[in-house]
Amino acid sequence: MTDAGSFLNKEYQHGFVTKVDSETSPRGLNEDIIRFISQKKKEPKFLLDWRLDAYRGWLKMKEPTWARVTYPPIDYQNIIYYSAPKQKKGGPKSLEEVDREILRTYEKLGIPLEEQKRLAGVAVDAVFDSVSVATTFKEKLKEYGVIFCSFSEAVQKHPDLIRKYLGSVVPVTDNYFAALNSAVFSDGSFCYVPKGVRCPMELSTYFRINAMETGQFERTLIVADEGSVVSYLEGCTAPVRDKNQLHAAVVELVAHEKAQIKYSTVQNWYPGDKDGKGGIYNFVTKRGICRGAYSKISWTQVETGSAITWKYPSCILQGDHSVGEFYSVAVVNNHQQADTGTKMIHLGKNTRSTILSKGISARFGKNTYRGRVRILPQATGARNYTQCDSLLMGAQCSANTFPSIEVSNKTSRAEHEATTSRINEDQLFYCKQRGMSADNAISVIVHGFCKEVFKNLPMEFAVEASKLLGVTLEGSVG
Amino acid sequence: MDKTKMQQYTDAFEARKTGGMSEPLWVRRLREEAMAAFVEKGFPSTRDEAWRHTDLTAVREGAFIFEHKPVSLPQGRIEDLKKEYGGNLVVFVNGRYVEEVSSLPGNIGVTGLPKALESMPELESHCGTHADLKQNAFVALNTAFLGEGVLIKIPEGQVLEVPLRLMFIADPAIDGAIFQPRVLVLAGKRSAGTIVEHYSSAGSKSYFTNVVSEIILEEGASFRHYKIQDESKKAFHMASTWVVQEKGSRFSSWALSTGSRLMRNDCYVGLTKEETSCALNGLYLGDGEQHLDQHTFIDHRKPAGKSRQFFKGLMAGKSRGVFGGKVLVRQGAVQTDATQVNKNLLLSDEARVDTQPQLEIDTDDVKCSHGAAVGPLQEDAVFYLRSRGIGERDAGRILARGFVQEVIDAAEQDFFKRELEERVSQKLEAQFCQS
Repeated sequence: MTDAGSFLNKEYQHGFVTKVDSETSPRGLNEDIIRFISQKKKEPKFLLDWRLDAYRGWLKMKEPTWARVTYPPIDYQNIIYYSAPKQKKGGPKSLEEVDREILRTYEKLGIPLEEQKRLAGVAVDAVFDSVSVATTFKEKLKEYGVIFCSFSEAVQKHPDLIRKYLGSVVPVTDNYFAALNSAVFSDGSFCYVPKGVRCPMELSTYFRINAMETGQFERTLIVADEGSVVSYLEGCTAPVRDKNQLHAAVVELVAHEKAQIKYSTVQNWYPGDKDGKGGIYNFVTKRGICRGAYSKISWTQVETGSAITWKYPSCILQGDHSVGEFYSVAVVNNHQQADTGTKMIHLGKNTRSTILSKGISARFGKNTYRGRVRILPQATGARNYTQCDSLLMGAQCSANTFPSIEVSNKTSRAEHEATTSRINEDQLFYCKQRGMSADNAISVIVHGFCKEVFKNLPMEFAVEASKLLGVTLEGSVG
Repeated sequence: MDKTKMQQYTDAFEARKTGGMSEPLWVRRLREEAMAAFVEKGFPSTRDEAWRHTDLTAVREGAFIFEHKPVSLPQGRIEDLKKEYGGNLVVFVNGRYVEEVSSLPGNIGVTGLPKALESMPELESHCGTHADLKQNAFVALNTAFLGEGVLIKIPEGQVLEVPLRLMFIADPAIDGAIFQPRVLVLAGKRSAGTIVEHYSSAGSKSYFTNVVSEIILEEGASFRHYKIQDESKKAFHMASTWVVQEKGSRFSSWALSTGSRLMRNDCYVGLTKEETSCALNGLYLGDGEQHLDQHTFIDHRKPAGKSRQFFKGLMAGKSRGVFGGKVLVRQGAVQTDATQVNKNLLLSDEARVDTQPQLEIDTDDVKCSHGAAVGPLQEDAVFYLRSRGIGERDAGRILARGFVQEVIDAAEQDFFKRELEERVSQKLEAQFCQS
């Protein structure tokens, strides 16, 4: 019934390559490469030292093996750690100066990069391979005092903020991939929302890996000062390549008292072809800290792409009454593998967290939810609710649920529920009986299954996510 | 593992070899293999995923005494036991099967393990083949010293009407004794029966029980396995039960854990053929500094298997409860129906519960779910009782009693239900004195 099917394979839509002259570092990784990157970006000394520290820590670490994913060993010396589109001296002053090819790429991707698309109301920082190429709506944001720029620019213009917050949530040697990122990260986005400001528009970053055999290591840092509110969107695509490419990003969020950060991701990296060849290895560390009382961090992710996804957006709930949320849809088709979930660490009193995870596996896909809820003794009155559901399509796919719940005081509560099943035959029959095709029926049912998560996405993302879901699962059932 | 600490185990193993105990060649080979596996791995640490929440330092650092003189129970005690539990009784003292004081049913075979191993070469295909000595250090250790224990064989088509009680009484003369009994159950085709494994302490010495049970259910067999563990708070209790189910067989178990300082209770059920079903239930109640760890692993290998799991925990004082339950549905095990529920109550701010329910599913035509919860007594309910003039402690105890009754009701037989109710009430009393 739910076997590999009749009509397949809407191909990966964003698989084109953009021809741009680029400037790349030599292959491989050593201290000189790190110095080269740092020098290229004219970084202050503290940052170079920080990178070198991370690199030395990384050398002592071992690649983690506990995740339920399998891949051939990665040769870290065969990766190009820096690739940048060649720029005219001094960098682009305005959008007009940005390479037309790049702008056309973003147009193809449907990103409202150009000013004329102001109506879309989204401020975009676009990261092309390793560097940020354009940031829109700067002036408007400036009026409100919001800093939103590429990471490199922030290093030049706001070194104090960078120094204060960089690595404060994800320490340099937190894990293998975070350490690697800390050593070689090339660019990313930085956002600072000052006290009491409600960011006037949704901020957005679009990541694109273009060059061949490069790794992308970007770093995002968002700081929401007391009482501020910000919503941040992240999207990703890459061209079709036969070889696997590594993407190891780090995202850090800091929410001060009564601040709110909403972070939404639609991840659509190239997943490899239907035999599992090529695709992106998406090994990402995302973590937010609710520093102040009554702060809130909310993660929403739709993971449809990548050959392998390894990511656990987490919340450290330090401030009393702070709130952490995690909403996720992870879809694996063909030979994709995803090991994803979250960690909620309750430190403050009366902290609350909600986890809602929906996994869909089709054909040979492997989907794992891995989560940890920790309520420490001092976190009295803490509350957690977790629900993870898995939907299976095909006799050879798999779905795993590995939660861990630790409660250490008597006034807190934690609940976890999980179900795994295939598409309900009755629902399917009902839809088909009313004249829907099998594919249509499944699409409707799957959307229903994911609805609770999609409703947490900002409007324009929700539409994109729905479409993506359809594309990813097309032909997986028949 | 520390070499000097390992020495005591290798020494004891050598001593046993030169002790001149006669045993068949296959047993010797099995023991040697097990010892090698144990020496290689040593005891697990909290870095091992399956032992993440249970720290074995106390066991790892402990010095244990392997050889102990047989102790005889006073006659009065035996009479008491017979009076209390009646019927079929198999008595173990300090890990050793005492045939003289056991009273056995006629239609089934109960044989001391040394004799059984000697006279029944067919045991080679069961003993040590189901319990995983490669992965589990405690199974390896038990197997390395295989010798004490009992074989229970229910012939084809026979029904064991009166439950068989296995009394494990620990009464060591000195601190630090280690007891490693082994239970092997062969339930023939379409046979039925119930056993109760009961572990208790007589003296006040510290000791270490490391028991392994292997239960084989042939086609259409139906078997119940009850376990009561109320050893003294100076005891370490490590137990694993390995069940293999053939076509159409049914297995149910119920485990009550109230005793010992450090306990780990593992239950593995392999649904190796079609249309099998199993139900595992249990309750762990801790107080003081107790650490009680309950683990299950249900391996759905063939189509149309059904499994049910229902475990509850109640932790008071500074105790710590751990639950780890895994359901694996292999490729091809279609139409599997599996559920698992784990609920825990914390009665004190220093108590702690860690729960890890796991689902691993490799095919699509299944229906699986799990649920886990940790929380305090419901405030409204406590308030309701208190507003009717019931003291805080009593109110809590009444609610806790209600909380556990649901699991007790899952025990199918009345005699066991009554025994559970009595024991649980006693333990709750102790828990609420502390909280």
